[in-house]
Amino acid sequence: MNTDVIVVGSGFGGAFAAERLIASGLRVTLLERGPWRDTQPMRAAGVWPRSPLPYGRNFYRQVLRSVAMPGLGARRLRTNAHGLFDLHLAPALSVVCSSGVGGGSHVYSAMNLRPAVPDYWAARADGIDPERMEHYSAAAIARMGARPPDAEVPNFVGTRLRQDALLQAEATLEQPAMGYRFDGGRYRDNSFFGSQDGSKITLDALILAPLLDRGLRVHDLHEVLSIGRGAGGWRVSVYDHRSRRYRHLTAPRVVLAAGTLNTLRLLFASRAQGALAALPALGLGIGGNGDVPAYWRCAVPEADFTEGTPCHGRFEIRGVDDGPNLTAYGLNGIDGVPMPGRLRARLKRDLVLVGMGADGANGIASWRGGRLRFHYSDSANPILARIYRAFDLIGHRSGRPVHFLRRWPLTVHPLGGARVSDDPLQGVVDGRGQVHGLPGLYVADAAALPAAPGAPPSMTIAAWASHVADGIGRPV
Amino acid sequence: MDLDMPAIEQPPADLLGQRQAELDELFATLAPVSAAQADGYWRGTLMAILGFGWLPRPLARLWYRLLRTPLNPWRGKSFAQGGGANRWFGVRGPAFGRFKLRETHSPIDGQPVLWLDYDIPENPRFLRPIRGEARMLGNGLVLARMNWQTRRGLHRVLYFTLTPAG
Repeated sequence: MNTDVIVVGSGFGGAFAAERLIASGLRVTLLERGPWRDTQPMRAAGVWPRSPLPYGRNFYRQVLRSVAMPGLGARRLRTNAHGLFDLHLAPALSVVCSSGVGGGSHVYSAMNLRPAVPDYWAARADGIDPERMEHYSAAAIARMGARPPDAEVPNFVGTRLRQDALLQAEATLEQPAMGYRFDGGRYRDNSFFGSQDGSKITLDALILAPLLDRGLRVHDLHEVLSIGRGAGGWRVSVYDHRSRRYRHLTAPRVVLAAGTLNTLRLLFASRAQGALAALPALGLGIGGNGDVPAYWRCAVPEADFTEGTPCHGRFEIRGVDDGPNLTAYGLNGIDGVPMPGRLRARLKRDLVLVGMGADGANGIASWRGGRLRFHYSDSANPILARIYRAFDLIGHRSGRPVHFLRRWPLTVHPLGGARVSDDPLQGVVDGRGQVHGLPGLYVADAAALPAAPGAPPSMTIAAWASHVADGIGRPV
Repeated sequence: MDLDMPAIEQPPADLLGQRQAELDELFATLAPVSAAQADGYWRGTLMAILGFGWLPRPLARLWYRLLRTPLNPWRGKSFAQGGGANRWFGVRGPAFGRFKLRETHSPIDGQPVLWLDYDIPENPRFLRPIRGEARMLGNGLVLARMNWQTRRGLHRVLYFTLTPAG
C-alpha cells in the first residue's frame, strides 16, 4: 500500500492530524472502526455507503456497538459493528465513547474550548511551545466555526436563567463557543445521538469528506487489532467488518488517534504480543476530566428542554462563589427514541447537568487477561466531591432530585495513559508525540494529554494532533 | 529478544481465525528472523491448515486451540547451529523431521526470510519436499509457514507460530 502515514481513528485527533498531514503533501490512509454516518452533509458529499444514526425504528439496533464489563473477560459484547456507542463499565471508572467516521464529534455537545487550566502546555516536554499550542487551539476553534450562542437560541441559559431564583448565568460568565450552524435556525435532534441534518458541525462533513478529493483514503469499518514493527516500517493489522476479512497494512509512520480507550487497548495488546517496546509508563496518568453527569428531575411545567444547542450553556448556583464548572443540557434527541408519548413529554421537562473540572489525572490503566482495567479513586480527586456537593445543593434548594452516580465515576472524556513527558519512565510519548524508543509511532489523541484540561477537551486534542502532525510533516 | 519485555506464552487469538491468504498478507509485512535469534527451543501453534479454510472463524479458533493440546503430538521446534528439528510429545521431546537453515529471500514474496530446508539425507523421503519460512511477528513471537515443493512450485500447507519454550 503506497501511503506515508496511517492514521488510526477519525475523531478530533485523527481528523485534525490527517488534515495537516495532507497539507504537508503526505499520502495518508485513515482507518476508522465505525462507518460513515448517514447525515444530510454526507449525502450531499456523495459518500457511500453510510450507516444510519440511531433514530426511530433504527434506534435500538444502532445505538450500541459494544459493551465491556467485568465478567465478560477479554471479550466485549459486540452488538452491532455499525452501532454508535461503546460502553466500558467498571467500578473504578466507566467510560462512554462513540464510533463512526468523525469520531466523538457526532455525539459531543459542540463545545469548542481551550483548557480551563492556565498555562496548560507550559513546561510539559521539550518541543512543546505554549505559544505555538495556543496558535493551534485558536486555529482549531476557528476551523470549527465556533462561537457562543446568541440570546435568541432556545433554552440558552444566558436568557432562560435571568429570573431564576436558584441558578444564574450572568453576562460575566463566559459561555462556551460552539461548533454549530446557528444560521440554520434548527435546534432539535443535534446532540447525543448525532445530528442528522448537519446542524452540529461534525468532522466527517467539515474535514474528512473534503479531504477525499485531496487524496485522503478513508477505510471505514476497519477495526485495528494490533500494530508492530514490520519490514517496511510499521504494520497495522485490521479486521474489515464490511468484507469480514483481516487485512495487514504497512507504512513508515503510524499515528494513533483512536480515542483514549482504544489507543490504550491497541498499545497494551500490541505490547503483550511482543510487537512494541517495554513502554514502562504505559497506563499512567488516567483521568476522567472531572466529569460528573447528573439527571435533574426539575419537571419545569410547559418546558421543552430538548430544543436548543447541544449544550444550553454554563451556569452557576446563586450565592455560591467559586463553584465548579457546570453546564446544562436537555435530553436532546429523544424525539428519535421509540418510547411512550407520556414518558417523552415528561423527559422533555427535565435536564441533564454535567459538572467538570481538572481532576488529578492520577489513575492507572492496566492490561490483564486481554482486558483494559482502570484504577481510579474519586477520593483522590477532590474536584469530584466539589461537584457532588454542587448537585446536592441544587437538589436540596430546588426540592427536585438530582440523580448521579456518587462514587462510581463515569466519564465521556477519558484521557492519559500514554501521556507526554521527556522521561520514558513517566510518559509514553515525547514532546513531538512520538512514542519513546519507537520512531515512526505517534499518539495524537487524549491518551497523550499530560493533565486534565478541566474543560471539554476536543480543542485541546485538536491542538495536540495539529502539533504532532506538523512535526511529522516538517521533521526536525 | 528484548529481555525487558514480558514473555509471550500464546500467540494472539486473532491469528488462529485467519485464512491462509490473510496470513500471506501479514507474512509479507514482517521482518526476517535470523538464525542466531532462532537458537533454542520453541513451542508451536498450528493454524490455517490447508483444507480447513472452510471452517467458520470461531470454529477455526477452537480447532487450532485443540491442536495446541497433547492431542497433537507436534509440540514445536528447536534450532541450533544452522539447523533444527521438530519436537514431538514435548518441547524437548524426541526430534523428528530435521532441517537446515538459510537466511535468504522468499521465492514467494521476494522478501528476506529464514528458510527451513528439509531436503537433507537424515530425513525420510516423504519429508524432503517441505520448505519452511520464518519471520518475526513480535519480540519472542515467530510466524512461520510450511510449504510443499513440487515440480510445479511451492504450495502452502499451513502456518504456525513459535514462542520461546523457556
